[in-house]
Amino acid sequence: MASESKMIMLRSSNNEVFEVEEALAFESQTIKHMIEHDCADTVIPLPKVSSNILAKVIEYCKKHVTSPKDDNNELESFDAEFVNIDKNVLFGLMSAANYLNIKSFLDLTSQALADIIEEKC
Amino acid sequence: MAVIRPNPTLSNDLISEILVRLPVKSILCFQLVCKDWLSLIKCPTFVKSQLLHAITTQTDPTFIISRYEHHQKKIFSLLHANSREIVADLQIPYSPGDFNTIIVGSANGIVCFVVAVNFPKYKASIYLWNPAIRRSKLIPSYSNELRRWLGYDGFGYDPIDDDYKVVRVLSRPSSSSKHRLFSAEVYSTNNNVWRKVLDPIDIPSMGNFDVCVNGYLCSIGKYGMMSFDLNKEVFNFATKLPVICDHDEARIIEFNKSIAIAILINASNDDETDWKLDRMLDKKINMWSLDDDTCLSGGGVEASWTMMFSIDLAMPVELCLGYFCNRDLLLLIRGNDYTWKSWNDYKWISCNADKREAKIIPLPVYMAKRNYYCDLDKYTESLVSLAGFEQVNWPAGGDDN
Repeated sequence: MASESKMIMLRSSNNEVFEVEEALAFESQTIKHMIEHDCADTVIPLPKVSSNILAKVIEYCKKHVTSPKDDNNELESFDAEFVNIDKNVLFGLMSAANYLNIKSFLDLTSQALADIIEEKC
Repeated sequence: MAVIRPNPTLSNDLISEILVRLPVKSILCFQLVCKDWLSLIKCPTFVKSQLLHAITTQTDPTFIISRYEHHQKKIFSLLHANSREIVADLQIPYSPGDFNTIIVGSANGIVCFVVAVNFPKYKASIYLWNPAIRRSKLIPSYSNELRRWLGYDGFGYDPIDDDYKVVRVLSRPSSSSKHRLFSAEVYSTNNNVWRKVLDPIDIPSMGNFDVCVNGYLCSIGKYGMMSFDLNKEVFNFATKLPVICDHDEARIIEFNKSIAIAILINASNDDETDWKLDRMLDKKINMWSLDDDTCLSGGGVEASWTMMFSIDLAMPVELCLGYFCNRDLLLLIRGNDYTWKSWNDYKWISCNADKREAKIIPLPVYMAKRNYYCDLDKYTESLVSLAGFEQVNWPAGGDDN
């Protein structure tokens, strides 16, 4: 019997609503804390995250939650490709990672920005 | 229409997240970007974050290796643990003529070295130096500055009081008895003074202290392992070693933030008392780790050791120095067929604890035979600047490391 996983609704700064599985949402310590301490209603507002950034964050979390644990090479190449983007978007992702408190995502984005700076030095 | 900001501004927290991941040299460049960034980088919280990040993400640890090239000048070089390559030479920023320089130790990016001068009169000057930020200071002279006392030094970081300390153990012959007299003092960077401690009963056997781990300086002494608790400032002289051994057959090595000891014993377990014959015997290497370092604080807790591995090297060797790289023990050994030609015939041996095997790794070409290697100190680049630090004036034409 398939177990139904609970769905969480996230609202971006420009009022777009994203529906995600609880396990995925819990990658964010901020969201996890809000839900566990009953601080949120049916929809969790994220006024600091725009929808295009939130979509990318969800994409990252989805990949990391659903990938098998021992497939490090695949995750590594996914991560490397994921941060191979415009640096303004990268800044946005890093801010979101910090606000949403997703440690691995914060490490990934800040290291990518550090690498860009190093290259330019 | 909304104004689109060309450069999104990040909070200081996020700027720090990025900057800590850069090498120290780059971080120093960024001090010049603007006043905000200058104060961010100089802030003690940032310095601590950078150090923590450097220590936890260090994939290829670096060591300072002291070596003599062609029996002449002493050189201090940076050695990469994984590749065993010497990547750069450190320029000690003081050269007052006829002198002998010894690196006492290194912690959190701070290097402590002693410059001993013989003319016009004997004088030993102790410096604390951060090569990455090019700042250093001369610490005040210790009170017992008597000539011809033999000095044995140790340098380490006390994590409890966030203090960098130098220990000096002095030994001189007694006028009234056969035994030598010992005394010791400790310098605290936070207080900028030397303080006399209880007279020790022994000295480190091999010169300066071998390692500093978790706030304990350790070395092998006459009665077993000798340690100095940097926070409580007390010695402990008789920590039992796993087996009785001579100081030149053993090395204390840091392993997994704790203490391990490499002991050379005869492969055949023979006990050859004639040292000339003993050195011709095939050796094996035993590695033990200390289970719990609370025994070092001298509270009566007995030391217990666990054997990590025993590997037969199947040749006569002398231990030079060693370090752990992941779970492999890298040992620099001197071959010993006792002819002058191969007297300094060095080899690296990699001992793997899990596979219980040792393999010889060829020495890189520039670690030439006639050099002499001694002392290894772990080194991490950091931004740590101590009170009283001043800019070092590099010698003109000095290497820009």
